[in-house]
Amino acid sequence: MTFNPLESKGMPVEKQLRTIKQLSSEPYDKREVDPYTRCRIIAMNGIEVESIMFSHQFNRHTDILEVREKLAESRRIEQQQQKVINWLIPGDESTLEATIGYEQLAVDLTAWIARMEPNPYLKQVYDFGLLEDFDHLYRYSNLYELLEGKKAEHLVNELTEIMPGRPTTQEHRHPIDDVRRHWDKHTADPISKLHAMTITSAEQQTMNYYMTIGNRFMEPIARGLYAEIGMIEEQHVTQYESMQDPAQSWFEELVMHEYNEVYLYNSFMETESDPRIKKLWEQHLDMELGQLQVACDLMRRYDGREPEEVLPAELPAPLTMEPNKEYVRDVLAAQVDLTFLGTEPVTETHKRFEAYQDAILATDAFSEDVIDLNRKEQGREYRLQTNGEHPVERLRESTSRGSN
Amino acid sequence: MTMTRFRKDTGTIIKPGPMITAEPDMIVTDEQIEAVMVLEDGNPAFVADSIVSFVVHERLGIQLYKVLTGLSNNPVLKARFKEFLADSEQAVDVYEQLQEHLGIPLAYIPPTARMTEGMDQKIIESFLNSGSADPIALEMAAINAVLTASSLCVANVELLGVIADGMTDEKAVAAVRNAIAELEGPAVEHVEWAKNARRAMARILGRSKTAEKATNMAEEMYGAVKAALS
Repeated sequence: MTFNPLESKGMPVEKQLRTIKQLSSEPYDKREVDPYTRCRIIAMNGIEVESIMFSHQFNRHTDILEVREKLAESRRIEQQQQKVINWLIPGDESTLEATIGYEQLAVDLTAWIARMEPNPYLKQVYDFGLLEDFDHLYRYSNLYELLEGKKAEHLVNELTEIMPGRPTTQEHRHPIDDVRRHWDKHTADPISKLHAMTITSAEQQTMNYYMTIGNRFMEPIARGLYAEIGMIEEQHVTQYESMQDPAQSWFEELVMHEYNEVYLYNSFMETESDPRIKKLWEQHLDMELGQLQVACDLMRRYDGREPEEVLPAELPAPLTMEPNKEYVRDVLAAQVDLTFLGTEPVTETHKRFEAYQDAILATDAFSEDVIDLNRKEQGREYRLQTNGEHPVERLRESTSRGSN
Repeated sequence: MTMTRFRKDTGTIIKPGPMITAEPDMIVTDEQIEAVMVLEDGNPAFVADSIVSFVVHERLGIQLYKVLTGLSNNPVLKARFKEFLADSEQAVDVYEQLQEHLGIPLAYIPPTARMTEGMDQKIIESFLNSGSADPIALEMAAINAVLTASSLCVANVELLGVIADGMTDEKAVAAVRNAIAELEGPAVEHVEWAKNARRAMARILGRSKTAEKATNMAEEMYGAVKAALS
């Protein structure tokens, strides 16, 4: 369904408050959940967290009482929305199982966005990041088998393949090689803006999640792997947030945050397979439409602009969680050796990259140790290759085993 | 209504600075801009970039006056800001007509425009702290914002004159001179009004040492400002 959110009033913010008991939503059954339902839940949790943190930052940059009050009212509702969404994740889903959900989301969200992105430079950046999260899925899946004795295929349901991407050891770059160019707010396609906001939120949530839960393990290999991949997630947040135009005003950013939430709830409402969760997305869409109205009103009064000046005439086509196996394979085959020099991709290694690698990889990396340990334990490493051999010869299992 | 913001679907094109990425079919070079302009000598791209930054400044003026009209509780100032808003809309029209005369694409964003927009946006965003301003401080800040913004309007009109002096195409020179004739009066008037309003407020406020008299002073000040501008 395509529509213009500005023409829909939605649920008034003052009617959006839930009771405390409504916040502890009934979790899904981890044995039956559609993997993409899990992904959508993780995604919208990240989107709400970003929205909340942005609102807190905005609150710290203004002392106009009315603006602070309106932000506080919407923020309280967003905090409730976050609880309702994140509490759908069941307690019997282990931290590692949730982690594999996070990485499956990162893979198929990034791949879909890369496929749809009209700006070639931004598409290149998404392709670049895609291969790194794809590798994280493989590393965590091996940790999962090593620690819990289970195979990740029952989590990803063969919708996403599991095999090496750009090896995590090759992802450690000098900080200044993670900064990117940004789109211009006047010329960027609306979908480019929404893509960058969505990916930034998802990666930020992943970064925050690993920062928080990485120390909850007893096993040194698990603690180490979370620490290592957690560092890469910070690189990804740096990468994706720098794609957004810093020339947007606070009110423009506020409107764009609310608009992106409308876009995503509408997208997920249209594509959700679980009727109960679909109803939740529909309810939250109605709530976000109400919050968007508030943001637009603030923009008119305190930024002197009409929201129509910055928003598209209608909502872009829905974001869809779907398999991207062949796309990922194509990108892997073509770009596994890519790195960045400053803001630009390069195929050759360079001095700054090598110096940083020497500094941070002075000893072995946990991301390689986990594969070695699981291979030792199982007699093979864990992979899920539904579409044939790895597209990069040196990353095929027999080849990679032989090289160790 | 004056269009105050350009988007992809309104045909915006850009000469991207070093940190910007844009879709290839939206990127233009100096040579492409010069190819569609009527000017053949001198540095047409500089002329285009300058004039676009001038019109962007006027567009941000529209935003500024909308915000100030909403923030002010002083009916005299409100009325004056509404007048200035109309003047800014008129200035945008004049600049856009000049762009058409010179062949400068209306939806062209050079780096100068982004920088101008960024600077002007910060003037508007300075009012995010207006919650800590008492009514008089707020009115003074609003007048200062008018003075700052309109001073650049005046300076831009002066630069138009310098640009016209360097042109040889008679029609182009005439178009620039016509634009100057339309823009100069209101721009100078805004600056003079702001200076006078500051003087009027200073005279009133300078008489009292105590903030307790703020309410009475405000009434007196509003009257003084009104008298000074009537």
